[in-house]
Amino acid sequence: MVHITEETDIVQYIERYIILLLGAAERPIPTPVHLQKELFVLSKSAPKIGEYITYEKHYLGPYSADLNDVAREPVYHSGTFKHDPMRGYSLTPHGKEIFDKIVEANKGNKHFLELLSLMRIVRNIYDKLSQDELLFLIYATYGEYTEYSAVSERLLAPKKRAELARGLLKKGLITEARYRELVE
Amino acid sequence: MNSITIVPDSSFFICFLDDIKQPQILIQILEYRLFKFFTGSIIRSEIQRSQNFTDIEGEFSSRVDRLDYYNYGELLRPFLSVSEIEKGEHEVIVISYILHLSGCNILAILDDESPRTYFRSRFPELSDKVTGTIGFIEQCTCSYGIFQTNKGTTILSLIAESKFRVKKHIVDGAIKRITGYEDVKTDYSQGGDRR
Repeated sequence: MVHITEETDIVQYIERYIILLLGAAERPIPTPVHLQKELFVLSKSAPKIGEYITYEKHYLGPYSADLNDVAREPVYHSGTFKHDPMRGYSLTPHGKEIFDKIVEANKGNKHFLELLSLMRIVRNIYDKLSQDELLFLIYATYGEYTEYSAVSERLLAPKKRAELARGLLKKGLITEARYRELVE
Repeated sequence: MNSITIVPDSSFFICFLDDIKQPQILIQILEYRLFKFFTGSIIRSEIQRSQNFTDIEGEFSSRVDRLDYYNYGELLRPFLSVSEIEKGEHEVIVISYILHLSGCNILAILDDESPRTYFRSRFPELSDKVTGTIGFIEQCTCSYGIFQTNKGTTILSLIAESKFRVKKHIVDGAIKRITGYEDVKTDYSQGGDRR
């Protein structure tokens, strides 16, 4: 019984993280891969997130099955977000209300506001990456997740690596020093 | 004048502690009434490695606020090089942006060109809110009057002669502007015709 309660709470937490991440910017999260990876990097910054969303090695990099399930069908906050294969994930009007309520209830909590700012930074930077750019940077940074990957060999091959790194530098998405490191 | 929230990288502190060995200049800056300093855990541990850290330990503890609840810089790990990460440049960028979002008038001090360019590119609304140690000394002299012009140029000359990594023309340019600022100030105070 206790076990079920714990699991239930975890689902609620994951739903709230998704709602907050979606509400952190006025545009959809482009793809399911972006949703998975954006919460993955957030879990590196805010280890508490990692207590609720655990990642495993998968054919498209770090992957959480719980996050995937919740994103498809929220239980506690049903109807708060939707997925359009062409546009990505976005909050519904009801989801926006829930987002506002969560923010209002936590507006005096300094650490909550910092987390929301971290989410804004993630959305500002990671949303702009193509799926290939995103996976390339994840594999180049967290090499352990290349295991079981179906795409890392293609993305990390010298020619592709140089092409992706050059594009990222040109768009100002990586530093000059990081570019040199990625193409070496 | 509004207060300014300053987020320096480790090389700013190390410049005064180890490169020119003038901790009292750093203390003078830390004590300036309009400045609020912030740092994160990586930058702090870099500074604490300096053998001369004890010279400023008291002022550092009381004058520099910590932001260390999250691993702030981790968000940018994929985008910066390993050496930039080790120096905590990513931490300066993220902390600066968080403080900006909370309404602070921020100034980030990043001495390496590469992360500075990245900061401006990713956060264009803050492109004039980032400088290097040399530019900051210039501001301390010309904008805030923390140093008199001759002291400002002396500090810059000391930095140019130290092991602090900076191109000579950058220091020369700052010295020239400070000297020019002194000339203009003298003209004003003597009622000179500014046309």
